[in-house]
Amino acid sequence: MKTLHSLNRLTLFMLLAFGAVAISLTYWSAFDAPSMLARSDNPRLVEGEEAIKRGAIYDRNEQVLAQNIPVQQLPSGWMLQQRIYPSLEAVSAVGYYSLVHGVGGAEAAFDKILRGDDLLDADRILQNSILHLPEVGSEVRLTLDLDLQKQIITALGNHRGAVVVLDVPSGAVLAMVSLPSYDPNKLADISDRDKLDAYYNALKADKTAPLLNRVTQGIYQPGGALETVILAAMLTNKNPLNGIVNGAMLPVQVNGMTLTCASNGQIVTLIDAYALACPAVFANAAVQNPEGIQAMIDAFGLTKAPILVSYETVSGKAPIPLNEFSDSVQRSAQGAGQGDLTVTPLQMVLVAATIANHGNAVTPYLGDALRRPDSSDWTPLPRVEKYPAVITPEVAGDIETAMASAIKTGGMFDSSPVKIFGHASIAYTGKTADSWFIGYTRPDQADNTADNRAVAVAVVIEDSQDSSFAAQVGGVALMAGATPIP
Amino acid sequence: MDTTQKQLRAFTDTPALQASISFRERLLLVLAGLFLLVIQSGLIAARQFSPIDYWHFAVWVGCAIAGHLVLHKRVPRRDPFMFPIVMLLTGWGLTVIERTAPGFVSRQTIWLAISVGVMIAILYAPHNLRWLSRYRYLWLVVGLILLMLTVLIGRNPTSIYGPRLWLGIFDAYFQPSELLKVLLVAFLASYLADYQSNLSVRIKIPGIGNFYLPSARFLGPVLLMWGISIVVLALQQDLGTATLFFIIFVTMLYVASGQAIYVIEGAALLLIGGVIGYMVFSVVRLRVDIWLNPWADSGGRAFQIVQSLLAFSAGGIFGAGVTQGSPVYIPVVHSDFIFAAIGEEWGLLGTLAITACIAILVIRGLKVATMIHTRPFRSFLAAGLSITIAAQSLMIMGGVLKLIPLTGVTLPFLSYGGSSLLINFIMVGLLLVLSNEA
Repeated sequence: MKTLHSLNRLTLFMLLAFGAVAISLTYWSAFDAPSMLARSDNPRLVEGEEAIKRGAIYDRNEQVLAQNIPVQQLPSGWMLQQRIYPSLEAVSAVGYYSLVHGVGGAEAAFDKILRGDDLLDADRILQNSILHLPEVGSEVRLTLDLDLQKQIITALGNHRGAVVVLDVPSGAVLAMVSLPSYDPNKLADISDRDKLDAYYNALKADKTAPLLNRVTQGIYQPGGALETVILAAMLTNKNPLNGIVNGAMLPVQVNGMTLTCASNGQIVTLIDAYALACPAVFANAAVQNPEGIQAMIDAFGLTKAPILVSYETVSGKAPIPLNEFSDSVQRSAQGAGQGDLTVTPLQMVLVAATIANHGNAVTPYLGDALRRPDSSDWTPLPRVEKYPAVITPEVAGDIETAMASAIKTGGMFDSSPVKIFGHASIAYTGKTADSWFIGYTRPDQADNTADNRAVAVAVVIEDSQDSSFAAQVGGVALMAGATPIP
Repeated sequence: MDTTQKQLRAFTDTPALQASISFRERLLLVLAGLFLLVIQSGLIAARQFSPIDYWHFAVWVGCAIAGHLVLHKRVPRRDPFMFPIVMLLTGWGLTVIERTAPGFVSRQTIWLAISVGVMIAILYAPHNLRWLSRYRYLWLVVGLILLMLTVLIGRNPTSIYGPRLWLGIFDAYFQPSELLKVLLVAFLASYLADYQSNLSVRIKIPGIGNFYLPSARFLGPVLLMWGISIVVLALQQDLGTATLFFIIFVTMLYVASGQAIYVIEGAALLLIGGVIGYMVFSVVRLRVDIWLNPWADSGGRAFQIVQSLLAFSAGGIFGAGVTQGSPVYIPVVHSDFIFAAIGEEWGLLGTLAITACIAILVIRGLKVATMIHTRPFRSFLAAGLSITIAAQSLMIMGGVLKLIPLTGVTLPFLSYGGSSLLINFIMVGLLLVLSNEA
């Protein structure tokens, strides 16, 4: 019967139609699934990111610098995590974590560890998938000392600039301050996206560059801070500390500026010229011995980006080597630190650290150790333990003597409990000037056999012609940093 | 009844066979119940719902027991698979609604109780179904009037801007187009059964053969009735239901007449209608555009379909697990796109199971139609009801999988929707009555 026939045909059609649905299901669920899930409009990717239990960041005494707190439940049942930063003072080192604006500072340097990406082997991925677990990251302990950081920030007050404190010879960064800074809590707070974006854009537009880490990436004119390096070159060239230098008090003309040094009478010796930061002596040295000076500038690492383990650092634009200047005026400018050689505070603290380490370079590092999610032990993070020689221990000893004299001449730190070696100076930058102070102290001075350990500092204060203020800040850092490290 | 059927009836009248039918049905219901119990418990554990929420499951159990007992009593020779399948699908849908839109689950549970109640009522009505075939014009006119009322006083319970397809009393909403679906099928079954041999006019073309064309005299009134419903639906922008009506109409004509020409003509008309719709209605244009290329506007107009496909991909083969997926990013996930939610949390295994369940339901319905083909009205009715469930299911499953453009129809039994659930249970009730003599 025709009805029967059409019913049979219809049944067959139904089977085919449902079969087509089944094939389509298989396609979307199995075959095309990986490329679909990688699409940027897949909200599960963001959910996965929001639910990561990012590891906490601690300072060296295990005070919390950054941590996650669960906020609310996401559609998939995971908890939305909020990153908070209890201590704003640490932001220059710790950086920020923002779902929408990326990561900076230590959050960026140790991102893979904090996210748990280094734990994701095939087993873990399978486990997470079956048990529906979010990624868990490891905790990171920095070498930073939060209390030291706070003291330095208090000392700096409203000034802009950078301070970095290094432990010698290990190279552990004890403090890293860059002002002005910002509030990373506002960048991590996802509850109000518009407010977050507005804050981020304001930070980017701010001419005082709060997002810039001035320690590793701030580029400054060295000015008188270069004198330590040139002194090293002169001493290596067998100029005696007590040697007479002529014309030390003469002013130096650089780019229309007249540089002089503060002195009340005649200066006779090299050590005096250094103590009073008289530019003429050092500018002259650059003119007379360009190869030697340039070699020392290179040896101290001022022309390439220094290594800060896991970090991105910069160097100023590579200047033309001294010996390639035909013009003695330019050489002189370079020697006065007012040429095209620019440095970062990190490079300068390494100068001080090298001198403190008897002429051997150190490699700084900020990441001390990590702790896996299911463990209570800290595993040390990699560091570089090589100390190539830059200058001889004798030269280093001479510079130490010169630095002691500089401190004494400046009348600074007379009542300091520890003996401080350092050099304060000024760098001119067009309309204004920056102040520098580099130096170090030896905490265990009483014990003669163990004077290996030192704490080095570099300070740069922007828009300040008062180099004694820079020295003061440096002194605060050194005195506070000289407490024994557990 | 002819001899064969008498013999068949004598055979199936034995209590042993009836008991075996009921046993099978009971077993399947228990399995379905256990499955749903596990899901419900998982939901309560994962989402910290309170144990009071087991009441949805309790209602389901009550309906399953009541339905089973009445079925055993009134239609002992029925198909044992239909009722467990629809109860499984409905219960599964309840848990997904609870998961994705907890505010709607109480309403749906109440509608479940009402629907099973009405199904039971149908089982107590005369099984010769003359109350349907005799008053076919009356039923159809009532349905049409209710539908036309929505043009005047129609409301939309969820949004002010959506199509106003519902009639509401107090807080209860009912969609007349759903009722008209059943009434249209019943009308067509009865009418086509009466005029089965007069449907086509044979035209002899010498040298080529016989051509069959639809007879205007007999099909005219039918077309008129059907045409009114299409126009009203188009007015109300309920184009998905309009398409569904068209497909049901053409398929039932094909079944009744056996002429494939109706299918060809129907397909052609559908295509032409689609093209005209594309040019005239912006809604149609939107839906076809995002069907052809959803990737171009995945954040805007095509957001829903892209998220739906993403949900299937996220489910993979085994699914993300109850409450462990994120299907809630799909707009309207508790009704139209419930299939995608199941795809994400139960994976390919879950969706294939549901596809199989619906396919089995439909094919068994068609099998009933085949077995009673000597009684045209009942056979056409069984076929029509199966076609309705099949067409609607295929339309929405195809839509959320980007096989065909999206239409505004819901997935039978699974989706949220009171009138839809009620009408579907009425259809299954009628199918069970019809299966009783097969």
